[in-house]
Amino acid sequence: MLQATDVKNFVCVCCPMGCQLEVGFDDKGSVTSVTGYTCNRGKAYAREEATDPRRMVTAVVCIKDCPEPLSVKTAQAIPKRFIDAALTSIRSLDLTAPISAGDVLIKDVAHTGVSVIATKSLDAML
Amino acid sequence: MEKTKNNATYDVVIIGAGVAGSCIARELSRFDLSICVLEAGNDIACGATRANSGIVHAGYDPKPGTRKAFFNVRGSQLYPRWAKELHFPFIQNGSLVVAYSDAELDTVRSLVRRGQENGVQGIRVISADELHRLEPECSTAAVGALCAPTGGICDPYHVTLAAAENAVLNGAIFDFEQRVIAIAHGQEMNARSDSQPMFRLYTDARKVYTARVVINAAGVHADEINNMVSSHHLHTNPRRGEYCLFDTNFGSTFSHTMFQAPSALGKGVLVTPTIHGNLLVGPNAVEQASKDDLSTTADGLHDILQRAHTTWPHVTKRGIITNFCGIRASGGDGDFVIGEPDDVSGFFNVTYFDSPGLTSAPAVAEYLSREVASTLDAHKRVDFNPIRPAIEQFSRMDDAERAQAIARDQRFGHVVCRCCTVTEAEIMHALQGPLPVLDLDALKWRTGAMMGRCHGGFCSPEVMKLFVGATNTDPTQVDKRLPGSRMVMGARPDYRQLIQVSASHRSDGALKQYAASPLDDVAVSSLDACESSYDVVVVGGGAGGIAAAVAARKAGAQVLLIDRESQLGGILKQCVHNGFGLHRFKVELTGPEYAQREIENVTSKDVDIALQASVVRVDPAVAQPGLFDATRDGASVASVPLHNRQGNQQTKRSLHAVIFVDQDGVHRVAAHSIVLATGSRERGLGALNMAGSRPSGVFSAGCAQNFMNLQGCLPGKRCVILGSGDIGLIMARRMLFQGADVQGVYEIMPHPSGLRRNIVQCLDDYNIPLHLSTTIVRLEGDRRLEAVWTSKVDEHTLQPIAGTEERIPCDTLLLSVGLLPENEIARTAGVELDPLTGGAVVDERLETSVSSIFACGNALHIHDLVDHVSAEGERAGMFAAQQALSPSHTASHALIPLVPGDGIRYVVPQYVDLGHQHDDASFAISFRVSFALKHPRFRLQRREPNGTLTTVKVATTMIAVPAEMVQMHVHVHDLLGAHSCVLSMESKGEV
Repeated sequence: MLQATDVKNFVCVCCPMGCQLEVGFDDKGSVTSVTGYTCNRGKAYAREEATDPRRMVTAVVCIKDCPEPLSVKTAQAIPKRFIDAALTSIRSLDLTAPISAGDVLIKDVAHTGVSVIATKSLDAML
Repeated sequence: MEKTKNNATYDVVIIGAGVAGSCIARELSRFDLSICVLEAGNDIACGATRANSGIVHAGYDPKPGTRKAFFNVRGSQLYPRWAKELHFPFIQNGSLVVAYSDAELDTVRSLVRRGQENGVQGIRVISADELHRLEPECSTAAVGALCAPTGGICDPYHVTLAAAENAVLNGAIFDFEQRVIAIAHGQEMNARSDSQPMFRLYTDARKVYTARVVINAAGVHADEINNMVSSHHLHTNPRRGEYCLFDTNFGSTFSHTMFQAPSALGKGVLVTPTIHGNLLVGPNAVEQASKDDLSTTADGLHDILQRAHTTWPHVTKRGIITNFCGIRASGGDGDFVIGEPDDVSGFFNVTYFDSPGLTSAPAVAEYLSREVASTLDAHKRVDFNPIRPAIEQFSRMDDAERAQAIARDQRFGHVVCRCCTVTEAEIMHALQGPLPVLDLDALKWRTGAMMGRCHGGFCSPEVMKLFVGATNTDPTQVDKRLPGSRMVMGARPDYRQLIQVSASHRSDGALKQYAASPLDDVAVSSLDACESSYDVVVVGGGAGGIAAAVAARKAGAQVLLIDRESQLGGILKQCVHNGFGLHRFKVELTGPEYAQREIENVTSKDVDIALQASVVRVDPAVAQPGLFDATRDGASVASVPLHNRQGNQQTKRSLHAVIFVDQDGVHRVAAHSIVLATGSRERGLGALNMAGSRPSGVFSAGCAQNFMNLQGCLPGKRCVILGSGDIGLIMARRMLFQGADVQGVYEIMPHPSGLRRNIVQCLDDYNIPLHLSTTIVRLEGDRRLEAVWTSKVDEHTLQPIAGTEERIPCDTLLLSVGLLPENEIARTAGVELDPLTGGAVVDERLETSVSSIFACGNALHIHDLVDHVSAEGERAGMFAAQQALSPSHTASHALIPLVPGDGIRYVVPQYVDLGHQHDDASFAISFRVSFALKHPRFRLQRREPNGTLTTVKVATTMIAVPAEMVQMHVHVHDLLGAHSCVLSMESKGEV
């Protein structure tokens, strides 16, 4: 009998080449092979996308007394599966100007250990 | 006149606020009568008046003896006086009816005789020679033409507005959104106490109006109104007319209105300049059942362009900024029906009022007002004021008038619409004018804001903000055009309070460092006077401009950086996503963070900064002072090809002058060097020539991004995106994050045009489908967008494939179909532009065809990464400073053209100037390829004066795609002595 093991396919995003990447797993879910890449960036990307895909999240939120919305981001990329939870937390922020770029708005968003920070400074209007 | 909440009584009620109703109201207001105009729509000129050719016909067309002939000729005579009294723009540019065969020439001759019989002055036949002298662009197939010098052009909206405002000034009332649904009169009223006729009008807004006289000027609906009271039934046959409107750059193609001689095939289409300087092509004439459907059709638009070809052989789709459709109230035997039907007295019709209705309106008004006055035994008022004050238009003022206007009202110094140079003052005046502004299109038509080549992409968020502030309307209740055509579908509940507070605490720009006082009126009118001078003036404070200013300052120059907004940073401010700065700062930043770093850099560098300041033109330096006068009005500057560039005369250098306006006045600043960093604008709907209706809910992606990220408004809830450019992909995810549904992204090409990373992270992550080789061919929805129609396209021709159309319900369409360099300021300076890039033609120092004027960033060519814009800005700033501080230019130098060869779409710079003394012996060339190729080889070859080609260098990348710019370095010494250089792309195997 042959044991079939999982593979996952990705298109590499590191450059416009668009290499067709394939990541192979053993029966415990560990990566055993990466094929299809042209460069080392692609190889690393495939491994990360296969095991722990992460994304930066950016959003805008309204703040009190200021017509211009505040733009925010996660300080680092967070696991993809927490994007929705992070957005929900960001939406429920209750903020008042002034706010400075870099201010930490949420310390540990969606229990990812990553904070949400302001990406622009806004003064109170009055 | 008595008036209660739902009941009002007037001497005269006029139904319809089109050109007929408004002109009649104006003429009737000469008499001691109470007048009310009822309009079903929410603005004047909502129907046939809104969309037509805008021609004031000379009067050779109608058959002698008809009402059309009489009112046309009389109307044509009245227009000059009306234009003068009411201050609406009107030009007698003359009409030509061109014949292309001997048979058509016979027709033209009979039209001349007809015109003479109708009493048209100055009408005659001209020869083909004279025709081509008058109109060099006219087809050489023409054999002669009718020339009617009294033919003219106007803006029908402005004729109507002027007449309506004058009527209001003289006491008339205009009630909008009052559609008359029933009329009772005579015995039905049971209330006739005297011999005067009486009417009671019921509207769909549940109001009742009582009038002694009713005038039916309801356009295409006039038959229905007539049939409510008269047994002599009328029946309107609505006829559609479709048009294509071209950019003002095409406005001077023809100076006359160019008709085609009528033949058995039909009346032909006209090509005419418009009063606003555009060129208009159309219309066809298609009967349709609906009186309200203003959809254009792909076939109709194709047909009018095809037929325009006869007059204008060079016509193409290039330069079309919009298409539109008008409706005409045709019917009966083809003549107007004007006056009382014989079974109802006191009820006056203006029906079947199709062409020449616009021309005839003042004459009909003159006639009917006398009839009505005699019916009601009314007397002329002694206090009637025939003058309606002119609308102040900043774009039409000279510098001295602008300075005076700003001194009177600071808001004239704030240019809101950059394409049409419309200021905040003009928008606020319109909002406070005699007639209410009930939607954004009313502002557009009255002020010209949002009417230009960016289609309101830049200014509509700001115009909406002004509208909200002035009318205290919630943004989600603001209509674009017609009730129910909402601009945005979500906003914070306290938006309008915040806008009103912020309007009353307007900041003067915290960063503002430019404090020289503006020139007074006298100084402005003197050509030599400049309030200050700089080594380098940078126009535009986005990424490119900031980098240029910093680099120029570092090189020792005194620098002024000018930007139109209250904060530097340009478009980065609204790009809240990440992905910026990996090259420049070695760290991934969001747009606002990248901007902040750049702003902190420039504000620490002793650079003067003028914010909320709009550059209106550049007066280029000219060696001989005598020529300065001729070039003062930017438009008259002829474009100088770069290879004819004049070196600066070292003996007596004159300086460029940068003219800008802000709330302090008009500024004229002298500059040794100028860097143009004016960025780009988005291609709009007009460029796509899409058919269908014109609902709200269609945004350029960047405009939607501004609404969402800077105004906090949700543009829509169910969204479709056309074009897979990066901004469109980013906006797909952004819309989703802010709570909208994204139905899909449609791309006409067989491959996506944005970065693959964005395809994966903005679409794939959220299961948003990307449809390749598919485009949108038609919009549906007469108020807010209701659906788009998609169609598969042929991979090679990109033409829609019949039978593949699909209807996608949605309320929002975002367009992400490319960027175009913004070079209006460059044009005023006479800078030569490259048709391939849309930006300036430059040499390797980024200097344009005008000596000491440099260009960089998206104004020069479209970049895909802001990091590269900053790098290019630094180069432009450094060379601009060098040029200002130690001019290296000599009048005799060798320019070597860099030419795109096989597989290369464009190359920047377009020339290498070996007259420069180079510190660095190499420079970067930027280029884009025409098609995707893996492992390409880029071959740079030099062509010797004797024609032989030699390879200078070969370079490669992993892959080349049209979406990504490529750069390579070239050594100047490799090019010495070459006649030209060619860059081409080839496959690996060919090397």
